[in-house]
Amino acid sequence: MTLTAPQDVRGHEHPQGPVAPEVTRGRALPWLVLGACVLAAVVRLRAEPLLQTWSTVALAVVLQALPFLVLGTLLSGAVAAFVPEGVLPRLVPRRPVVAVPLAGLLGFALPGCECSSVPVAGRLIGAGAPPAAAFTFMLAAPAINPVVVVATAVAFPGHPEVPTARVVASLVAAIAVGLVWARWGPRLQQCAAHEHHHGGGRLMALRSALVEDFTSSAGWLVLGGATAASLQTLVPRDLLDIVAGSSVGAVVVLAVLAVLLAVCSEADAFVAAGLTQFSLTSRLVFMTVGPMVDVKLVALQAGAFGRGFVVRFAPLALACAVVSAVLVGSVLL
Amino acid sequence: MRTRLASLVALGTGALVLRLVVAHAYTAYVKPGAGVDLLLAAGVLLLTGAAGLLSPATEEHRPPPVAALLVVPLVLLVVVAPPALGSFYARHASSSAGLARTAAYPPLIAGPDGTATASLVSVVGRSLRGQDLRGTRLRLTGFVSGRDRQGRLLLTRFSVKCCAADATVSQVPLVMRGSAPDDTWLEVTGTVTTAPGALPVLQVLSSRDVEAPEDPYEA
Repeated sequence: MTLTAPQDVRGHEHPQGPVAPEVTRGRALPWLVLGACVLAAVVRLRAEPLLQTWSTVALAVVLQALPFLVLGTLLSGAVAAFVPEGVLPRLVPRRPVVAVPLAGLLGFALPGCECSSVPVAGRLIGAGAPPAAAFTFMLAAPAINPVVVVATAVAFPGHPEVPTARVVASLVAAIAVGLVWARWGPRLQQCAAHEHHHGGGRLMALRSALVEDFTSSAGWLVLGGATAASLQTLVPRDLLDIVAGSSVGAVVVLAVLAVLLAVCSEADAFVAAGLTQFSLTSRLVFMTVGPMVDVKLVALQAGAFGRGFVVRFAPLALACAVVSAVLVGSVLL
Repeated sequence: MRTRLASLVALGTGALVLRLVVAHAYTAYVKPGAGVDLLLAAGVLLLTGAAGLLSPATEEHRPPPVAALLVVPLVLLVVVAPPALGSFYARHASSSAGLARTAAYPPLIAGPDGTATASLVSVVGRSLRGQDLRGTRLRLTGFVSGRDRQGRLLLTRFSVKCCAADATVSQVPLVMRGSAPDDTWLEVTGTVTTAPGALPVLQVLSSRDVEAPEDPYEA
């Protein structure tokens, strides 16, 4: 049973209890058969260029994200092990209007890409941080941390307004999502009761939290990588040039592309810089949406907070990101 | 035993990543600079996984079903063992020309034999930015991916900023006799014949088959 605290974000959907072995076996059989069939197909087709290319891209997405996922689970494990119960709720301002922007600004402090921030946000909520503030932190950190800002400046030489616009647009969007969530989001039970009591002290608690967070996130990461690889290898790129000319079309297409390509936030500025047929504003949309909503991130969030959460959260984040980027882009770029 | 599954998953993933880095096979998937990060991640996973397996009587939660998907990378690495992106993806990927046009490149420095070694993306970028490359002898390394409309062999290389998912493709048409099958790695020496501002074309003086480089992607 995975009782990581963030699961309680699902609200009414209670974590399943331990499953009896025979039930597991009965359920597992069809999956085992399916797995065997897929394996047989993979063995037979392993020399096909399409399968090889798909595998390369899928493995690439998983491998580039893995160190950041481990960093994120390490940090989240440290929160679980070293932050005593009840400290966070006292430290964080009670009012969302103060807490949410503060959490957004704290995003400057987590150098890494989006895969680190999901488990950290989950544990922060588990430790008693207000969910809206934790989500704002989760959305802001991958877009505005120093590593990403420098990468953006390098990718757009001679355009210092691009990294500036990126920070402003991402921060505004993340704060907007947090405030909307604080006001209208589903009420979540705070869940100090689920903090585990592990024997063997803090180091043991850190190890245990790390292993749990890692196994529950990494599976979702694989799913995200597989989706991104499918789109990268199956969708022809020539389609892009056709829509780049229309300003609305460019924004829509690059927003969709940001979601589907799932490029790491440390690299997306270079991808955006290469899309020279598109306007700067539409490329700002690409860089604002990507770190907040993409297929691998949605998969990770579904794993951490439940599918019911993602169905509401992802569209909200997407809408805020697009609107914010278009507004900021029309002013600054 | 079942309660140790999560630790086992961490240990297995760590071992797999460690093997990729030690064998220097990871550069087919991510930038060479990611090696240290991967090594650290593998170390953390191996340590925590081993500690979980060895420590007596710790209670562990069962990993969720989705964790079973971690077997997918394992199968792909063992069964498919996919090589670095090649000629198949060259037809799919976006061109690096847009990015190359915005980058600044240092002047080309010729070696003792009067030939300058350069990356494909930098040659494309230099030419597009208006540097006159005519008359400079260049040594380029890339793989063959078909021919362009004029029937010239395309020398090809991918540029990767983070991982193969953000790869863009650089191609230089070769004016030369003879042919080579797709995905053959060539080291060619020649001179650019095109005027500044255009996509460069190389008049080949000499060409030889080479092994695929250890780091298949350009920065």
